[in-house]
Amino acid sequence: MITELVTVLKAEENMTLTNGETFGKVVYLGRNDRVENWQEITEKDAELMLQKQAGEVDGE
Amino acid sequence: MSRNDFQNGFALGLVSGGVVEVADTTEIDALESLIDESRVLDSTEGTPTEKVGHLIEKAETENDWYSASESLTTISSFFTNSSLQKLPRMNPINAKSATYMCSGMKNLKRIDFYLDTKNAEDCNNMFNGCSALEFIKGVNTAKAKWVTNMFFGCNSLKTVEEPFDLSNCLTSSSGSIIMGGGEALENIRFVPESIKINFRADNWSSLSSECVQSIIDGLATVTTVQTLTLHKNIALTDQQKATINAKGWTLVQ
Repeated sequence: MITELVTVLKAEENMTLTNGETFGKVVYLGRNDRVENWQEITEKDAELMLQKQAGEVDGE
Repeated sequence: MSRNDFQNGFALGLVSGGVVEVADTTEIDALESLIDESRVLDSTEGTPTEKVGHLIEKAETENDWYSASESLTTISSFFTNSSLQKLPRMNPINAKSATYMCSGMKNLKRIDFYLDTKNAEDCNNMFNGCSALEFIKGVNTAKAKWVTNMFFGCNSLKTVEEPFDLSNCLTSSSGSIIMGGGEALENIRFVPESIKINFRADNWSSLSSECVQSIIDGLATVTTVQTLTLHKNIALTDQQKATINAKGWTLVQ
């Protein structure tokens, strides 16, 4: 039986994890991903970044 | 549905920014020609807009919508802010752009037919602001490169019956596929292995377990960093987490 270990990152209280594009409280790292790609920011900052994303209009 | 309702949608489409191409003389001629050829309007005179109105009025009674849009290269904003309660059956739609096609249709509750936008590459904001929309039979996104905010503001949307094919989607300015839609969304499915880039479903808190599995099955195996973001309330089994990981995806909740 082959067991693959998965790295799980969990944000502290009032904090959010982000890789600059995606936001969440828990991150199960895929095999192509690295811990260094993720950082913890405050929920307030995350909210601001999400609002900015939502306001962006996609072009072709 | 009245003729005026449809004309409202059509006229708004003509004057809105994204539909300048529709007003192009060549296309109007093509549309006019198309309509002139139809058996329904042989004896009708008037502008293209008036003719489309006639066409829709007649087609409604015969339950046989004529695909007046067939010759258009864009159907962008065609029904934007229209008061229509029902979308005319106009398949197939050959247009390459369907962006904002039905945006702001606040009276639209159901689309009971498969919307065959078979050539549409741009489906961004297609139903943006359709706040009463609850059910869609399906939308052909097989060639879509962009589906961002397709259901933004569709807070009543519960079901899209036919699976989405996102195999040709490119990244958006946010770096992810974000289709929009809210907490009401329970049923939405995806073609297996068709999701290839970052996919955000963090607003979909009411997804059925079957549809959660459909998203997981929809993930293609990737060799670069890609993330699947699900709402924190979505409970996943260890097996599902393992499958996501085995396909190379990072799971975020």
